[in-house]
Amino acid sequence: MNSDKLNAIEATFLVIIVTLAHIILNLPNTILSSVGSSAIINVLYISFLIFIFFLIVNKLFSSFPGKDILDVSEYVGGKTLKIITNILYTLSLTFTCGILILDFSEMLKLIYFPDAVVPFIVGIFLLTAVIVNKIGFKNVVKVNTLIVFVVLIAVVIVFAASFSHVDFQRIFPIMGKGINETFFSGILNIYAFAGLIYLYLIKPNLRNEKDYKKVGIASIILSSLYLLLSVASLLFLFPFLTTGTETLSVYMSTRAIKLGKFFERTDALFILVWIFAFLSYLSVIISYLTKINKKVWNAKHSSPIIYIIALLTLIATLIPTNSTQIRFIEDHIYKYLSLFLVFGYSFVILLIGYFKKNNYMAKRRKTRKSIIKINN
Amino acid sequence: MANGVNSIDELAYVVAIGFDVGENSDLKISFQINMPTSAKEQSSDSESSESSSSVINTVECNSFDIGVSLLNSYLSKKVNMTHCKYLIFSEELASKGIGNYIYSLKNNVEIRPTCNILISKCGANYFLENSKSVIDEVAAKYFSLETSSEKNTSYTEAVTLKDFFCDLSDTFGSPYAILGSVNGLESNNVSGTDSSLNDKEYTAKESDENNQKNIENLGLAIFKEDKLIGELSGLETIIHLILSNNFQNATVNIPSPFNDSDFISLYIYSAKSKNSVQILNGTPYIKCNVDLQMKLLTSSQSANYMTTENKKLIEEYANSYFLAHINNYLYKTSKEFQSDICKFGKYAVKHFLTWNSWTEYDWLNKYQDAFFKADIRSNLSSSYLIMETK
Repeated sequence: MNSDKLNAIEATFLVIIVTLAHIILNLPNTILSSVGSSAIINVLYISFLIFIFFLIVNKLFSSFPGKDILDVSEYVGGKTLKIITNILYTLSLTFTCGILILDFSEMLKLIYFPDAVVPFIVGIFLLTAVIVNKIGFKNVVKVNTLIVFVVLIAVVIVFAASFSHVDFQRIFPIMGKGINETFFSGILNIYAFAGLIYLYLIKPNLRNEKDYKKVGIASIILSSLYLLLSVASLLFLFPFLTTGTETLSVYMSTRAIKLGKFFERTDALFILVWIFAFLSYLSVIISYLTKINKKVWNAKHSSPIIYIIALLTLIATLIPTNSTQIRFIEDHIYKYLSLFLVFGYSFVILLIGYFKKNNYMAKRRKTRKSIIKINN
Repeated sequence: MANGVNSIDELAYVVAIGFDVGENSDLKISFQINMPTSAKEQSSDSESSESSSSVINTVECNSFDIGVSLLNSYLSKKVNMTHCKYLIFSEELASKGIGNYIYSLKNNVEIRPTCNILISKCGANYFLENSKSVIDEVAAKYFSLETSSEKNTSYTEAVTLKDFFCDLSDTFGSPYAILGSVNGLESNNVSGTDSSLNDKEYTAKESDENNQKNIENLGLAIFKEDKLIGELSGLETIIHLILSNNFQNATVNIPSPFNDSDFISLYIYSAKSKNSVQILNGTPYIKCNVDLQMKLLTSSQSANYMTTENKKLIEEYANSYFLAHINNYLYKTSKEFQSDICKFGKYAVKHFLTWNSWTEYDWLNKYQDAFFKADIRSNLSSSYLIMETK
């Protein structure tokens, strides 16, 4: 069991892989079309808000050392609430993960495999993730650490290579589609940090529990930076994104890269890096869902749970019938589902748990004081 | 999966695509396809040594994608456009509007965003048929070299599909493309022996006549929205590059301050323009402060151009020469073309707080009301090897 413990870097990269996967596909585009040229301000704003949010979560979690959200649910509402929380997490994560893998597979089909069947590409992803999970959680984590590092370098290269073509004036009009869109309705773009859902689960897996705050802050800073670079490179490069034209935006920015005379078609290299990123993302989701389900159902072996999670993900990929539905699910259903789960349901449970525990502790202290008083 | 794999022998690589107005349909599309070496060797047995390295196939259709399908139907190979270097639109088609074709091309995965957009003063098919180089046998290489020549002359600018598409959907400025033609197309355009022709009049189709026809990219084709509305000559393109801060280097002839009938050649190796826009009573007021660094190329047996007085005199002449051309360029794009190809909109946008107020102002239409103030400061740094003659 001790071998499953994570150090601070491994835990940080585990948290941010989810944000990375969403950014690669369409997240920056969605932010740009919702707020326009104020996207950079909006990203800085939501990054600040998520930082405050995490400090509150960290404070609330401090009453539950070594516990995750499932343990807190059990403390608040008994076994029933623990099972409900587990089912909610499992279904929502498999659903969103399935849709994301389907979207990425559609992109691969469009670019490289026009004659391939999408479920076949999805199947290869799932099969690889199942095999990786059978090898073990620690391996998933180590490979993920390496891949996230490479993906982070890739996004810096994309930004740096397109630097000579950018128009910094595209940051104007500074308030984009409006003050309301940037600061009030734009607050909903906080769903970009839905990958921080792992901060509700990761605490028992940390080698040193004191690293929890460090992991949270580091993952928020890295996710914000990555999101900021992606949004900035698209905003400064492509004027049509702010007017709402739907594209495979991040892929388009890699196609525009030309590194001298020798390296003209570097997009293939980025696609390869992203394939690894998505494999890692899928493996991480399956391994974490396996972990929490094993804990909730007191299962002896991981394998059956891995198969079930993979099957649920496969089923999720079969739900949308066309790319319009995929885009709708990503832009709307995923958005509100994430907001509900990360910033609503889980937070409320943690809040109730915190007050319940504090009341209980206050009562205990009061009782102890009364006993001491009586004894005196 | 196996169906999706094509070996190199099964593919026909398109290096350039020409778009003309069709006779019976909306479009006439010409595909220039590179011939593999083996195929070329077989055909060269029966032809002269000047055999082309490419073939041109033309189809009439209503849309680009249908054209590709039609070509696929009668070629024994699958058409592949991943190596396409040029998209050529005839002047006639461009005047009608090419927005829809650009969107379709941008939507095509095979066509690279780095592919160049060229507006041909002759038919696109004719342009492709004459796109033979004397020095390059491989058409794709020839096209890439042809585009890179702008770095040495600044007589045109390499405009890619991505650039054109972005400009087309932009609110800061209007699109433009490379202007091209075939040398020696009509002899009455050629003024090779006319000594009054100087570089400010150079434009595509007006160079010396060659015995062998050759393509030539010179000047820019100016668009308002997606319709061609005019063109810039070689010198106007140099001014455009200076004002839009994309200038690399150029050699320019200015009238000699020492002899009225002479010209002196200046090599401009650096140019920066500090642009700003103010909105005065709802009208754009555009200021351009240009800084030029140049060297003197002309020398003669009796001249001594590099004395302090002479240097100052040349700088003053250069200032007034370029200032006149800058003002001419600015008012031409504003009043005649009503097209902000310099993208001054990006300097104006900071005066607006929200997107709605910016789009309501409608910069692209307000540009025609703009008035300008240009200032220029040139610095003649040195000559080359011969500094002084007596």
